Amino acid sequence: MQEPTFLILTALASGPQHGYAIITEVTGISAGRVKLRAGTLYAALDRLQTEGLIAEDREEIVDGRVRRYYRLTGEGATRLATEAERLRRNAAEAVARLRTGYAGGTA
Amino acid sequence: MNEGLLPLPASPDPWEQDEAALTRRYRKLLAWYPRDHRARHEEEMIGVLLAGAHPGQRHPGLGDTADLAKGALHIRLQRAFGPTRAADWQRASLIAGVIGLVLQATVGLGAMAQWAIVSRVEDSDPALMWTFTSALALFPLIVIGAMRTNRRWLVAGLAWTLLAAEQAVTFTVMGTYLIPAPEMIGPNDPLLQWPTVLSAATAISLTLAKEPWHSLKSLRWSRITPVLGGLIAYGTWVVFFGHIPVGVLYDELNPQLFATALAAGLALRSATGRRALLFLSPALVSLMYFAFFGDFNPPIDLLTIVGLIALAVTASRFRRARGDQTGEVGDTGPGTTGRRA
Repeated sequence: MQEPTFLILTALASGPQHGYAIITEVTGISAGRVKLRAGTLYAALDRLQTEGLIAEDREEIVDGRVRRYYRLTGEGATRLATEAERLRRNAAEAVARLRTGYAGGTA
Repeated sequence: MNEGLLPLPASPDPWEQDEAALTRRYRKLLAWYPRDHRARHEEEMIGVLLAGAHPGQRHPGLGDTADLAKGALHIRLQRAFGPTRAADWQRASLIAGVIGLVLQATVGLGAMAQWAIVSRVEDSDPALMWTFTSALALFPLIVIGAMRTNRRWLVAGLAWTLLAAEQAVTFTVMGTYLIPAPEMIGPNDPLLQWPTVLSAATAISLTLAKEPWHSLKSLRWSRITPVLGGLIAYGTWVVFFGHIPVGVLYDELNPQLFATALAAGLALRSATGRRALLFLSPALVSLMYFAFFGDFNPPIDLLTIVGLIALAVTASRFRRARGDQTGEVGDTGPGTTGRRA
């Protein structure tokens, strides 16, 4: 799973969000490292909807324009949990090896 | 003080003017998106774009412009070929490889049938020609049989061996060169002959197809069988009823063009079919080119025209149906949702 996809799914994990809120959430989660633009976001939303990982939740009209909210589906939550666990295991392994190897070598 | 004077017309708010100009320009950029996506998401995207704009901004930035162009391209590609997951493309390359092998076998069968007649009237070496034509027909079937081993590199290696053997025998039998002399470059160039291009496209497709046997078993054959059935029926027709050419192995082109146009029309109806067609497109282009410009062939006849019309009609049906996102018809492998691929 590519990082922007992971971050979009993570942004939706705590509840439905609209497009601009997803952009700001992703910027926040990645500590400003990933800044999505509208074109990239909506291409990703289109693909994730096609794959059944997210779905449209509801619409609001704000300043005369539609604001659509997106939510994580059950399948999306499963995929995100699987990917998060994979990353967690890799990160834990990296930290453990650094502790035993690199820290020992420099002691 | 102003008594008796007409009230001045309210001057438009500069901020609103800026926003209107920016909105208008964003709409122009969003015209790159598919119609159904615009109808559903244009206002929403403009809202997001305006929310990220600077105060007083009247023109889209270069970054947003490039990003919208990239997004439109991605969505159009997704509409045409489904999600960009590697597994979907590998499955499509396998389908292209199988179709390519079946087509190659029909070419071989056709060549055998033609040789059966040509050998009676021409002074050639029958043993060599029989070996060549029967190998052309049987070897693709051996490659299909090798898929049972599920070994990608064995299958791909055999497909490349078939291509190399065809080229070697073409050189031996037809006396032409793999790299042609300048005067041979053109429709008569053996490298441009569509069986050669088909063979190369098949070998490339099978090189990309992982776990061929497992993938074959996961395919939804009810959707692929009509295409394969049509091609096999064509091969049978060539063997038993095909008209006889005048001494060249590959000039039975118009029925092939017809069968290929129909198969392509069927393939266009699904995302997996469109992906598979992309793998076979070099062979299709080569076939069209050779059919229209080759010196060996009769002029375009009614059958060719009917085939091309069938292709065009089916393609137009696909374009009309594109908006409603017709379902996946090619595969049911792991990870597919069945909604659209």
